[in-house]
Amino acid sequence: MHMDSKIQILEEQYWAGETSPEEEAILKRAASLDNPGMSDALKSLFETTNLMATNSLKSDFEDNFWKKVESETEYKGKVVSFNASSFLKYAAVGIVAVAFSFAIGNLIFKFNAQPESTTPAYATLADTYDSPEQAYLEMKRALMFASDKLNKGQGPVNELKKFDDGMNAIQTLN
Amino acid sequence: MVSSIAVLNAQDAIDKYFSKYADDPNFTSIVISEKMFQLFATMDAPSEESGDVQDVMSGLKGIRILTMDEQASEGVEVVNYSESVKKLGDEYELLMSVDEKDEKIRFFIYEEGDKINELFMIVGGHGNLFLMSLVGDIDLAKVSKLSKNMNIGGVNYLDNLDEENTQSK
Repeated sequence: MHMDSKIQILEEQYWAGETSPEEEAILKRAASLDNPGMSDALKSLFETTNLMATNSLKSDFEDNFWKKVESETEYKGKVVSFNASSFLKYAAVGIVAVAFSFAIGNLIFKFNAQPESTTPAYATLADTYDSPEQAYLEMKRALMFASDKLNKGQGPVNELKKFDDGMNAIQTLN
Repeated sequence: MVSSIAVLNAQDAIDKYFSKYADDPNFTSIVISEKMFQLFATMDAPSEESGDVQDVMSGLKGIRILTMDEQASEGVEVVNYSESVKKLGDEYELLMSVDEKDEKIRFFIYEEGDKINELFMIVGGHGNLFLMSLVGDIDLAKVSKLSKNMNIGGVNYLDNLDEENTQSK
């Protein structure tokens, strides 16, 4: 009994962090002897601590460790990493293919499309005059009119040309 | 392959940019087609002077004229001279521009290679708007020579057109 009460007092001091290493050793020995004065919590704690102190890695631990690491890094699917040069190559091929298809499609469309009418619109319009003589007179008048206006603009140009010719003649004489 | 890709000018300037005015009652439209030009070749030339005219016509394939009397169409929203010039596409090259007090003239050409395939003329003034498209193998020198040899005043055409319009109404 006396021992049990002493163990209880030491346990209280242990939980309060007030035990010395010698007193802690007494408590550990009491735990190993399954002293009834010690609580199950402390007994369990000391038991675990002892186990951890005695535990050691097996000699083949390192080999097993790396084997496990390597087996877990083996991917089941194929890993495709992004490659910029490959992407650009495929993109360029794609663009060329699209452009080529568009050009071919355009050509085919133009080839199959109705050809533009080469008949001038005025060839399909009804003549204003039924009589060739009347049409001829009208045509002649229109041509004269156009000719007159054309000469109106050329007049000043011709005068300038005369002036220029005169100047050239003077320079030649000099 | 080349022929399928080549684009031919199948329309004249009036067809491309002024077609909506062709059926407009405010406009006078004149069409002389290639078929009619073929008939001209079978006709006897009325006088020696017409030899130059025949020479010019031999290369032509058609003519279209569109004219509007702005005074007669007062109050009606139609295209005017400035708008007509702006409407024309970039494929037509400005050949000549003559601006006078009462009249403004623009000549445009449509070329394919070294050939002039169309001569398009816009004249605004004297209360009129005049659009004319000559299509075919056009020799500007020959066209220019016509009025020099025949000494005909240019305003006559539009005056005559006004008279015809007045008579028809």
